[in-house]
Formats: sequence, structure tokens, C-alpha cells
Amino acid sequence: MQSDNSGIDNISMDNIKEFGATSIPTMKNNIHCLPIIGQVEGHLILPPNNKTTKYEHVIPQLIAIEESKDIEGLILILNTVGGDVEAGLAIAEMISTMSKPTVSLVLGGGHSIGVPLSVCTKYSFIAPSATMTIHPIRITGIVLGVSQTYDYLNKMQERVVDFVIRHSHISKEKFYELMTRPGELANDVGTVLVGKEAVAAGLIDEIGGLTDALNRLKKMISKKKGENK
Amino acid sequence: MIIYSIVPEEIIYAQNKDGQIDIKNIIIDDGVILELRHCKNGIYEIIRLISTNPLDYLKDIYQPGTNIRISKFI
Repeated sequence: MQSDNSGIDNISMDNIKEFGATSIPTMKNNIHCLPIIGQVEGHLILPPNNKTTKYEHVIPQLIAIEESKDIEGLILILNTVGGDVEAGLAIAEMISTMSKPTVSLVLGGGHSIGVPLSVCTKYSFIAPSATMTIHPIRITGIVLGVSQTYDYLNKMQERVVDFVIRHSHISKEKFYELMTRPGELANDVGTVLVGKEAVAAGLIDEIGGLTDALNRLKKMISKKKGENK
Repeated sequence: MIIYSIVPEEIIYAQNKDGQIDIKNIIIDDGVILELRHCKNGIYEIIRLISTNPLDYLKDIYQPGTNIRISKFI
């Protein structure tokens, strides 16, 4: 197979031989989509039973989107159970500092480190059935019973909380109250926010689905185009 | 490194029962990342496609389950 893309002629696709399909119609797409699914994987490769989104894949993609002349907006789709704090915060910081219009849509779940990821875009949506779990970070392994351990953990927690309050309408007091609320989670303190509760708490901007998110993004794109003229 | 997740760590770090790990290779082509599993004699099955362009997911050649032959890279 000959192709103008370097590298693709090194791959001979079996089905192309079988079906004789040689060219794929190419359409321009000005909106790109970044799904954050399963665990956010960072410094450590997780065992293969985990479905993961790896930061080494996501970060170059974000740079490519920011640099591309054809791409005008990014929709972030979230269905994550959490993951590496530093990888999650790195991705969230990258998206929050992009110049192009960005919209997030929480579907299914945006738990733990998924919370900063869902508020990092310029506008955020949550599906009515989607949930977000806010709970404190925890450590396993050898834990020294000294005050420094608590201070360290508190500092790590602050990084996440600070990011969330910087990028959403929730207050620090309210976020800590949700995070340390007893009686809601089976074996942890914290809160599960379902759809409109996340909006009421000021975490997410609006309840919505795919059309709402895309329409909002298109509006933001046309507004940005108007400003640049 | 801190894992901040609702999934308990004993489940995250659980090993497969048979101890076998699927061999997956990743190639980057045309801005697309393919996660592959080796079948036999240089033929790989596409497990997953990673791309931010939603139109890539409509292309027949990238559909998961497709067998492809790779002469270089791997």
C-alpha cells in the first residue's frame, strides 16, 4: 500500500488486500475528543487488569491539539475511577492552560483525581446519571507515626483541592466538608455527588449531554474566531 | 507516588490468576497510537486505538479486532 503518510506503507493491512479498499475518505474535523477512561496511569505501569489512560499518550496529544491549525476545540470525555495524583494534575494543568476552547463532559464517573480533570476545562458538563466521588487521598505501605507523615499527606491533598477551587465555583470550605463527610461511603469518608448535586455544589457548570457539550464548544469556537478578527 | 482512586489498591495491583501478561505493543502512525497483541508470524491484532480525532475511530483499518501485518518497527 502506497500512502503519502510516512510509515503507513510499512504496514500492510490484511483487510485492504481482501476488500480492495485503498483509500479512506478524509473529512476535516475541527473538534477533537480526548477520552480519560479507567485509571489515570502515571509514574508506574499498572498491572494489565486495569484499563488505563497513560499520561505519556495524552500530553503529546494535547500539545499537538494546541499547535494544530485545523483543530479549533477540544472535548474532554471523562469516565474515570481516579489514578495517579501527579499524572492527573499534569493533564489537568495542561488542559487548563490551553488557549483553545475546551469543554468537559462527565459520563458514568469522574471520581477522585477525575474531579480536577473534570473542572480543568473552560466549561464543564455532567450527565444526569454520572457520579463524582470526593474523598481524601490515602497512602499504603509503611507509614511512620510522626506528624511529618500527616503534613506530607495534607500537602498532597492541598494540591488537588487548590486546583479544584481555582477552576470551579466551589469554595474551599464546601469542598473539605464534602471530602470529610462521614456516613456516605461504605468504608471511607467523603461524598458521592450525582449529576445535579455536582452542579449544585458549584463543581460542574451545567447538566447536559453530548449535544449540549458540542453546542457549547461550537459557540466558544465562533466567539473566539470573532475576537481574532 | 500516590494513587487517588475509588478502586482499592489491592484490586489495582492484583495480578492475573494465571500469571500471564498479554504482550501488547504500541506503534505510532499517522498521529494514531495502536495497542496491539501479537498473534503469530508478525501478525498483530488491534486491541485498542488511541487518537483524539474521532474520525479515526470510523476508519475500517483501525477497528479493534483487525489483524494487521507489520514489517518494520516491531
